[in-house]
Amino acid sequence: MMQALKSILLSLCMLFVSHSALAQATPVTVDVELSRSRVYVGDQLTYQVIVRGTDNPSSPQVEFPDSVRVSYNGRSSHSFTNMRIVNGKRQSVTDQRYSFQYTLTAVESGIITIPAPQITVNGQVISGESSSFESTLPVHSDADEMLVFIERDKIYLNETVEVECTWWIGNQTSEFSFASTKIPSSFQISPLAPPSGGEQTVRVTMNDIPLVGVVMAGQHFGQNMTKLVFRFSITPEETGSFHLGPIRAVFTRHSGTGQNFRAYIESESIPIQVQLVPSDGQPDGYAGAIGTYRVHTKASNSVVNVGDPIELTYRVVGNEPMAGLDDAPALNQLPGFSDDFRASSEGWRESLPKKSGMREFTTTIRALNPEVDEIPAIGFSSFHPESNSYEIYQSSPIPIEVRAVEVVTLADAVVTGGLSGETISSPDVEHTELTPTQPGLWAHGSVAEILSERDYSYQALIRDPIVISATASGPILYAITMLLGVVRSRDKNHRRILCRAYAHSRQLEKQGQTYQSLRHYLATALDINTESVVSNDAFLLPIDRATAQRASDILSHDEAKPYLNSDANVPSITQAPNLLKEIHTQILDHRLDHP
Amino acid sequence: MKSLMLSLIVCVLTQASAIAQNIESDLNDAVTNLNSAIDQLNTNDPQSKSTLQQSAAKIEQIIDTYGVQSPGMHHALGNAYMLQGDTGHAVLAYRRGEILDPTNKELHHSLNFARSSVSTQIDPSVSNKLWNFILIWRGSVSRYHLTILFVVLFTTGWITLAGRATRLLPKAFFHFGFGLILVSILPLFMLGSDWFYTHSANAAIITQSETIARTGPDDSVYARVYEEPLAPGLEIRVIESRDGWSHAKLMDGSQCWIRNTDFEYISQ
Repeated sequence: MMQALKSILLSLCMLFVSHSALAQATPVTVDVELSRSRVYVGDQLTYQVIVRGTDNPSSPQVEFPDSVRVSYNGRSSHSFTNMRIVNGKRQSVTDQRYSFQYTLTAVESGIITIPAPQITVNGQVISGESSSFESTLPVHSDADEMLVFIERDKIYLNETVEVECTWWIGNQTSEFSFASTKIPSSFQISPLAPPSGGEQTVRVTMNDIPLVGVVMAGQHFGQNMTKLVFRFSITPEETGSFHLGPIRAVFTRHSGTGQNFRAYIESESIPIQVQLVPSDGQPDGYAGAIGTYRVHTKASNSVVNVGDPIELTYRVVGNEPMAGLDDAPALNQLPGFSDDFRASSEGWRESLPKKSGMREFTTTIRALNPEVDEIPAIGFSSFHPESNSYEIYQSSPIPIEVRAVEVVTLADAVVTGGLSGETISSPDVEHTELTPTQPGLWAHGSVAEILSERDYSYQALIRDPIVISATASGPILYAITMLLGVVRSRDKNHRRILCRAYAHSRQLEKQGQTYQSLRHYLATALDINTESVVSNDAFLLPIDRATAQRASDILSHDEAKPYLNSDANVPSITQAPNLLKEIHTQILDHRLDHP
Repeated sequence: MKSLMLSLIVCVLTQASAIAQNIESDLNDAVTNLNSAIDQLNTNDPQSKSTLQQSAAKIEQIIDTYGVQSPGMHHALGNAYMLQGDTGHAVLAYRRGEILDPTNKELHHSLNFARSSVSTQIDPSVSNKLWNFILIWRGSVSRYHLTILFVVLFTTGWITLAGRATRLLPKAFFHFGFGLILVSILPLFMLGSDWFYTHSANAAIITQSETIARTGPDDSVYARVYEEPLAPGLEIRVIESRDGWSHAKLMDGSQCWIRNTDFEYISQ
């Protein structure tokens, strides 16, 4: 016993030591992997940072160069279990690794080096290794031309201008990509609807923004050619000098000889000057808006008592990105509001989520006196780049009717409450009813809630043994009951026949035909002809052997009677007066026990 | 042999546990990304759109890779698309979540909001109104409760009939049992209609902008059915597909042809 205990303890110690040794043998490592070592400009490759030896590492820090565009695809974890021999013992070792994946798009040619990634584990910075790949430009296509048109090359900060790009396509082309197009990072790009009249729409992705282009036919350099046209808008978010483009398409060209090769075409880059809006003539409260807008206001009710809440909605409609519209104007600084209205101390609430091209804010205001007959207009100032001037957009005033209310004193309240028994409401306390708003986006659940959700599946339901057995139990029970009823009814019928045969046999007995009566009963019980009954048939009846023997003897005597002397000592029917009754009783009892 | 079986069982269990951990870890990343994007939206951070795109891509990757899905997952995916302004994919995700659990109120509200944001509004046809009426219970009665109700009514009905057949119950119970079986058809019909509606493979959502509806399956031969393009998020039923085009029926019963790339089926 002690020996066994010692060996178990020794094994446990060895296991602990080997596990510790193993744990020490798996330090935190950071490896990098590139899916390709050579790509064409505009093509994509996968860059992975693989972290081993730690649980739940933070995202690595990687200083990607400007010559690649990066899209983070998220983290995935993998675990591999394998067997290792440590100190002569086989151990199951689980290798857990975390992979951070990025999709890189080369936007410049040359050797592109990705600096070493770094992660921080328990305050210690661990670096991986740098990696590099070669990016080359394919053949320049002389048969194509890329043209870019922009409204103006001197634009204001936060101004949105339209850009139209036309690619005259020289020959059959496929697998094109605009991924290597250079757009300054401070320019926000938004897709615009393509020009009408196209033969076919084509999806184009530029700077990870999906755009829609159209394929059209046209004349270029005196030749019938096909062109791809798409439009987008740019909105600069920094001032300074920038270059838009070159807009570059890398594609596969199918030549007339049946050869396929990669080629590219690019536009001229367009210098763009981004400047601040002029300070001369800038109205008070100007918040940086540029462009044309429409302003609307809406009140929840037009007939109110003094002090009643009015839900005021302020909506501005224009083109994105709608800079300078992070908040609505402060009402207490607007003429017409400060004297006649009291605005909610909470200020404006923005309606979320924001809809493209619209900003909506709501607040609660209260009219302070019954002379108020309208909610004044609310202004919004914006700079107009085409006229180079500021413009103030005004909403329309909203007519309202404000009714005076009697000031209720505490004494009134006590008297009123005492006499009428109605609910007393203090004049200082506002009672508002909850009004449902327009439908909005509802928050998704937490990870724990999402993972704990039950799934209802019709396929699983019809295979669920509990549901199947519960549903089938009723009909099966009913079927069994009906089956039993049929069996019982058959048995009852047979019983009735036997009773009838017994009654008939009794009658025959009374008429002196005693042997015939026994034969008739046996024939009925065995379901055979009366003439066919022989003495041995008595043993076929479900009765005890002694009774059967007696019945057999009597029938044997009847059968032997023609061949025997009249004074022979043979059993007689008179020696068994109750034999018929006994046989009948035993048969019925047997049927009751064995239906 | 025993040790081999044991190793096999341990291996399968370890694998299953590792997959569950991976799903949880990936989902955690996706939801964290989505929450960060919402914070970025509040501060008008231009990065919000790319964070939303990453979050949506991650959730779709979880659904595709592991083959798991839940109403909450589709709700989060729909929110990620909706906040990007991609109403088409948002309606698609919400509808997929709604199929899994029609009683999820939050998901239902978000779906209603997404539907109200679809710029093309179409009045449903009489048959669609009838379907909506037949399925009016879906938002308030769970399929579990209907299943239990059916099983209880059906089984009790048959047991009552069996009791009557054995003369254990009085004659009046025959009608009672028969009535219960008849009533049990109602939840069965409701479940059946729900199954038919949600599993019909031809329900689809327009997911691309500028979807041109045509009178036939060709750009150059057939004219436009409507002056305006069909808006993303519009719900359709596909009648047939031919050469990259599909014959679609809109909710008002009108028909048109659209490209296969312009829509996605709700049933995955």
